[in-house]
Amino acid sequence: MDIQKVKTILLMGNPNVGKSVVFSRLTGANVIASNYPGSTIEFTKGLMRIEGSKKELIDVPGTYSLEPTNTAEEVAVKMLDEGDLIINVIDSTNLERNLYLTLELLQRNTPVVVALNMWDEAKHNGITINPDELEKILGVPVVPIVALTGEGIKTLLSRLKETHTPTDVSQSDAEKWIHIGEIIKKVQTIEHRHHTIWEKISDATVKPTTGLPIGLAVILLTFSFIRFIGEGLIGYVLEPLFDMYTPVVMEISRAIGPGILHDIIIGRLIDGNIDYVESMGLLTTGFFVPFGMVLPYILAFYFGLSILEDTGYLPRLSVLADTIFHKFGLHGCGIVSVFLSLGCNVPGALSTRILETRKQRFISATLLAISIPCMAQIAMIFGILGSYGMEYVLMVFIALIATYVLSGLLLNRYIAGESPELFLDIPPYRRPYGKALLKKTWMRVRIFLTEAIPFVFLGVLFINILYAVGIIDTLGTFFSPVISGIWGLPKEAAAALLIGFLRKDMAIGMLLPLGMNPFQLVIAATVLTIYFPCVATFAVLVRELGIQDLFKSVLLMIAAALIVGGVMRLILLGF
Amino acid sequence: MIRLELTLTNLQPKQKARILRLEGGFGFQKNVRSRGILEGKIVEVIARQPVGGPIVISMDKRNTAIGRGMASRIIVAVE
Ligand SMILES: Nc1nc2c(ncn2[C@@H]2O[C@H](COP(=O)(O)OP(=O)(O)OP(=O)(O)O)[C@@H](O)[C@H]2O)c(=O)[nH]1
Repeated sequence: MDIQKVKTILLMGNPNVGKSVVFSRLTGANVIASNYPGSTIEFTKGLMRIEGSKKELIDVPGTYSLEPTNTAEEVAVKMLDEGDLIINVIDSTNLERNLYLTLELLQRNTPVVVALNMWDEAKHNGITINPDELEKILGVPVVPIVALTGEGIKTLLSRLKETHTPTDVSQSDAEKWIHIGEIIKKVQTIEHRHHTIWEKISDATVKPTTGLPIGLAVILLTFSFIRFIGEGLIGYVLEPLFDMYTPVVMEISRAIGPGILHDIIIGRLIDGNIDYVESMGLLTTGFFVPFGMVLPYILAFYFGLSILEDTGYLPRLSVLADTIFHKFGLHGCGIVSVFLSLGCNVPGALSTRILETRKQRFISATLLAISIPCMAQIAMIFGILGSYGMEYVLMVFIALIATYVLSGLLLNRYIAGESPELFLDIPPYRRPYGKALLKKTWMRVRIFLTEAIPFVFLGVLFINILYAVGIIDTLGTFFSPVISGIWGLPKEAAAALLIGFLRKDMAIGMLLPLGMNPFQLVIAATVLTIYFPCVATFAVLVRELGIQDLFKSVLLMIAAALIVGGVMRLILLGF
Repeated sequence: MIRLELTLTNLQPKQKARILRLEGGFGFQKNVRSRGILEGKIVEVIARQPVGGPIVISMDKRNTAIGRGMASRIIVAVE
């Protein structure tokens, strides 16, 4: 075919076959690849060059067939019409079931080239495939590649032009499977290998008797690791850095002199000194909260998450958690959304797309918006409540877990719709690569830096303006029946609740100057998590749930905040 | 030879069996087959999660977790 006429190339294949890695190779762009099915939930576009001309390359979410079973797969099927050429990425260690999609693709009238990826792993597992024979049978170019190292990528590119629009063969499903059986017999031989140590570990991590204790240990270890690294970075790197920064800011403060400009840039001095949490200036709090308090935890969290993702542990956790998540109308994959949300609710909300039904997506998204604090918020909870004692931090988490569980049980009961069962491929364990881990961590941290920090600055600006025009007082008085009456908090907490729409981490910081006792702080931190998602998450929820369902979801959030906050007040503060 | 027909849910860990039939609608059959769960294949049960949780099976050295409801519609015979 004439490659010059091709404008758009699609990367298609089953989930977890390495499409995202191929995409990075071909475009030089970085996208997130993970060792679990369904890590790409939305298509990613990039540019690549073939023989001097630019083409658009689209990384399509993985799909097992052209009949979608969830939203991510629907996206894949819709993309089909947009491509002039399809690179069908196949997992060579799993040829048989991958060929089904290949045959389906060959029935469409878009030219296809087949890339036999994971060629290294196939060799390692004693699987031999004859690519020439496969090419003869399928009638399109077949190229073995190792996306991770780049082996075969050049050949793949140079052979794109050899393909052509497939001649129309219509095959029924049954015929396809018979055809696949014949193909496998002709092109593939498998040498018998004994169980490797990794396969034994794999079995041990999904068997309930060994898997559950291992799972708990892994979760505890991950969170201890995050805390250890987070606290270490703060104590040994960031505090010394900010100590050096303080004299500079004081100098600027003197230069500006008192006035509204000073309030915005430096904020209020407390006893003549800068207080990085309470001053509320752009250069003080606006700088310190994201960099000095939150960033270290974000770094540690995403590094930890990347390890869990790349080894392939998450799908095993999904299997173990399935029984519990089923009670909430979800299935085990829900735990992946929980993990992602603990980093940031935005990717968490997006990841609900791997769930099959509207009921599941609604419950999953609502639960995470209600009761999962993001890492930025968690870092602030540790920073502020931690100084009173870890038991207070623990109270917040116990309250949130209880809220998740109870809301889940209720929603499952009262939301109409189906909750299909777990049906999940468990990939083999893979060794994570240091470079890939660091790159992935950095990509996510960069998202935090570029998308969160502007909101923090905006928040600081906003607070200063609101205080200046005196709106906070009016608002506080208006909402005091709820804030003070139900939750037992000072009415000035209205300011934090307002800023919580923008950034929850800032909002937690704003609780500090209100002179609350630790129990009140526990209630306020919990309510701040529950009452409403931040704007960024809200925007994603509008898209994912639609206005009508989102409205329901928001009512549930407000109800949960009122009830949970009220109950906590009764328990912690009495009447 | 008399073969005892069982469903996937009847198998205990380490037991191997051959898949005979898939009992269910068109969508179910297509969905299950597209994961390589086909008539004639040998499956081994790796683990059964407690209280009605999913079953983990191994086929062609690949593991798949499948809910009990679906598993109960996959008819097998122990070899
Ligand atoms: N050994 C080996 N591993 C690979 C190769 N290509 C990709 N991988 C690994 O396979 C896993 C899956 O890769 P992804 O690129 O996320 O797969 P995907 O097809 O985009 O997956 P979905 O987003 O779920 O559709 C990752 O852990 C990769 O590091 C390869 O050629 N050899």
